[in-house]
Amino acid sequence: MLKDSLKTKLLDLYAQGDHKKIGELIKTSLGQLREKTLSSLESLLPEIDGKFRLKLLEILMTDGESDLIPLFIEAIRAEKNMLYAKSQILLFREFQHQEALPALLSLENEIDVDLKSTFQRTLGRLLSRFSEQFYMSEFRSGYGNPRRVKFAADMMLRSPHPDYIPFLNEQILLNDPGFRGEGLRALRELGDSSSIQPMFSLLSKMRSQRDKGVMLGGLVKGEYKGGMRMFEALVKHAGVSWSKEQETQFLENLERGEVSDLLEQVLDGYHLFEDVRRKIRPYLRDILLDRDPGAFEEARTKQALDTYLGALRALMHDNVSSMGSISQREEDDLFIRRIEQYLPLGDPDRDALLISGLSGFHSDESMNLLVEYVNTCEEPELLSLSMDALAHFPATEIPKGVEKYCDQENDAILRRKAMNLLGQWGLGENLIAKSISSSSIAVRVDAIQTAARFKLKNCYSDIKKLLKPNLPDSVLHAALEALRMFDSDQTGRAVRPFINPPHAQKIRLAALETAYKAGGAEGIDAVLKLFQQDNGNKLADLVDPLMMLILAGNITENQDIYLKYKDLFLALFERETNPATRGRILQMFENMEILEEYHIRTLISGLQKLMATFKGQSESEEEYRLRKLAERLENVTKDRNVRTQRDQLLQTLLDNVQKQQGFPKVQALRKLGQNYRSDLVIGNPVGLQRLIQVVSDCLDEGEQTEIRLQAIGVAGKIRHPRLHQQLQKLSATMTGSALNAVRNALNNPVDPVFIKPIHSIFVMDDSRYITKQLSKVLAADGFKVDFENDTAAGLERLGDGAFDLLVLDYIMPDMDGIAFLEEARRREVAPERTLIITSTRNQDELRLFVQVGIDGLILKPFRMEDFLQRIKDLSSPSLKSV
Amino acid sequence: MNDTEENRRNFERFHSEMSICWIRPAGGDGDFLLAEITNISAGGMLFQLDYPMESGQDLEVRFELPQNDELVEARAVVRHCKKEENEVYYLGVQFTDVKNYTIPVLMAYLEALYK
Repeated sequence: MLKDSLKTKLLDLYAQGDHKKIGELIKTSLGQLREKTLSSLESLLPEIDGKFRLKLLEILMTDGESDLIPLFIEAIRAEKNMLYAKSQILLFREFQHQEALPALLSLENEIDVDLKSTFQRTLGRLLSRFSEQFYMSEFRSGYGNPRRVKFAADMMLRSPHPDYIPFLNEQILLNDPGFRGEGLRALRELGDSSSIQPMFSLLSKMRSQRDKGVMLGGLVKGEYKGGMRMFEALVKHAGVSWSKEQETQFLENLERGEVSDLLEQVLDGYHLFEDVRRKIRPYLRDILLDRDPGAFEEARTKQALDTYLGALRALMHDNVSSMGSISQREEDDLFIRRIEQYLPLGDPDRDALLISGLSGFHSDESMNLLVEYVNTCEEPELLSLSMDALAHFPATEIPKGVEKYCDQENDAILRRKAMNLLGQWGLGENLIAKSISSSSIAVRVDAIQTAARFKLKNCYSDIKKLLKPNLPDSVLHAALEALRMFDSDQTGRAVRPFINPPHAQKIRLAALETAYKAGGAEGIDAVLKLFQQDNGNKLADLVDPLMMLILAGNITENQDIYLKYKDLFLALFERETNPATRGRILQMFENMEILEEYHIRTLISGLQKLMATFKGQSESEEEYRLRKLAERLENVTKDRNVRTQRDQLLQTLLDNVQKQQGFPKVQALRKLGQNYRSDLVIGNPVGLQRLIQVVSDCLDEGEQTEIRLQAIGVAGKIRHPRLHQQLQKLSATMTGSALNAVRNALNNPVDPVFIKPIHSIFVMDDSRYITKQLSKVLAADGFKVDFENDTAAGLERLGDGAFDLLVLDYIMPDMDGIAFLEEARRREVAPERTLIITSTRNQDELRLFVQVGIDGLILKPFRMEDFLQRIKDLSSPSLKSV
Repeated sequence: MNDTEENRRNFERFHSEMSICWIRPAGGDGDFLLAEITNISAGGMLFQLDYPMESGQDLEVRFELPQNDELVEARAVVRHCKKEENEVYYLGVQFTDVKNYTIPVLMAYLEALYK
């Protein structure tokens, strides 16, 4: 009843145009019978026109409650008119409820392409408004989905918020490894003193889980004959207490073989992670039922429990180490005492957890305690943990324990960790150097690799001295690779002998790579010389690795060296039997930008000789590539000649116009018009600027009528946007035949060659807020943007990159916009198009902008949308006037 | 973290063309400067910009509002101007007149937009 009457009333009021009453009616109706009103509006919205629909939604937004969100989403989804849909999306951003965000996201895949940008802006607004709730809800929804939880934690770390701390304090207590791991990772950075107590609780929980897990592991590994004995043991360790009646009931169930419920209740006492529980359940069920679970289930159960215990230990480590970091941030000097007191002496992980705590709490006391562990402890696992922890501390002297393990033959893990610490601290280069000459091959290799990783300069000559042919291959290989890390002009000479046989190929490859990479341009030259002298005898198997090195590097940077050896590469191509290697040689040439006439000529002749060897066969892909390469090189020469001729022609034509006066000038202009073709200025921006300037000067009011008439014809032929603008201005002041000439000239549309899409924009303004805002708006619309606030730096920056458009402020303290533009043009760094932004309304100044030749003017203050539109107009064929 | 920094951080997150406005001294034909809106409070706004202004200076203010095709025109007076590091000036202004709106309505609108 209400449905129909509300609909009818709304339609009547709309027909009467009484918007005020519509608003009042909806408000009253929502207040009295909200649900029915919403349902009535839900059926009304699709039946009415877009304008009324938008009006109703605007009225509803004044209510703005979250139960309206589905109504809005449905309206946006069903809206056929793009303009109304856009307005509806913009309206949607006013919702102040976090449910708005997932609701809007549900439209993401079905939104029309024309609405994308509005949609994204609204989404961005909601994301920023509700980001905290959104990330917390993502975290919470990631139960059992570690990637989702990690994403949410990453986002929290990226933009921290105080609300995250109490939230994470709770989440880590939930029994999920993902929540705990990611929660602890985030709390390490974000947590405060309020996190310490929950972290202690978590540690207690995990210690208890660990103890029970160990016992469960013991039960699984032990031999339990009979389900009853297993049941008793399981119950005992679970720590659950049942009444006598319950126990009797359970035993009866067990006898009847009904074990599922029973097992679940017992397992509850172990607080296992969900996936561990799932994995061990079948095994335990079989044991309780006196069935043989089989070897597979047994192995799976044992493995699941081992992994579980490993994960718990890692989480306990993260827990204590994060507590250390937080306590340090909160300047809680008593942290170490508290953790020592908290951990019972008998806890099997006591020392390991103390070390974890010390690793997070960076103080002199922590450092001293860790050094004590390293110096006195014999247990490899704790030593390893202490060394890991020490890596977080700076050191001024080497702990004895670290020194001791540096040349320890028998324990590779501790040895590498000890050497790493020395490298990281920048201490004990002499110890590493000593280990380089150790009698143990493994120690020597580790020392060489450490010296290389930390670029220990004093070890360079020790490693270089090692390069003797009788050195074991593993040491020689490590040494050859290590030398690559040092910047020295001696490396190339030292390693090059090892490129040749009879060394093993692994050694030769390492030597080649080091010789190629370590010596800069000279190193590359020397390597190529080796191949040249070899003449295909000994180094044939290294041609492919050489080409791979070349292709992996910067070809243009080293192009001159490669071209010096182009005959070598052509000879290698001819000799090479592997098509892949030949392909790489061709690829190197294809990736070069060769401009020197000498190289072009000689390379073409080399390529022609190669092509001659293919004669008589149908064209292969290789021959096709050779032919295309030769053609490309020939075209460079041809283009260059044609370009030079065209530039000279344009220059002569413009010189003539400029130096003549009176009738000869008219003739020179006519000749310019007769000879002008757009290819005279394509690729010649300086010539184009000059052409426009010359013709523009001839159109000037001060010129004789004959000259202006001729210039109008020429401008009409050139069809450049700037000349078109000038002609449009002239049309306002001209009469008679001159006006007809202008109209004729304007009949021809702007030449499309002058309308290039704009991709990159440079913004020059002395105000940081303008450059920041304009760059943000432009970048959001997909333009590549750069900006500068200082004019001198701006001119420099223009020279660094090719920009399609300059957005330029007029009033700047050091140099005004016009002076800046003129200087940029003088230096030949000005982008082809310029938009000036200014607050001035002074007619003389505005005329000055036109005279200097710009492509548009934007008056401050402006709407950002209008600014973007102006830039888009410059890219479109229907060019708008200034 | 002081209040100003806290507000600035909130505004960093909000990436809309609406978080800026144009201002210039009233009555002249000086250059319009772009200012970032840092905070909104009853009757006034806190701006950030890179030029100083005198206390008591009358300003012309222009800003965008959603679904308005034209910039909203307003007048305001500078209540205080404080220099921070890197030539950043914090400008507290109070609105004195707004075209087509009453000041309380405009402030409610702006607060709803920015907070």
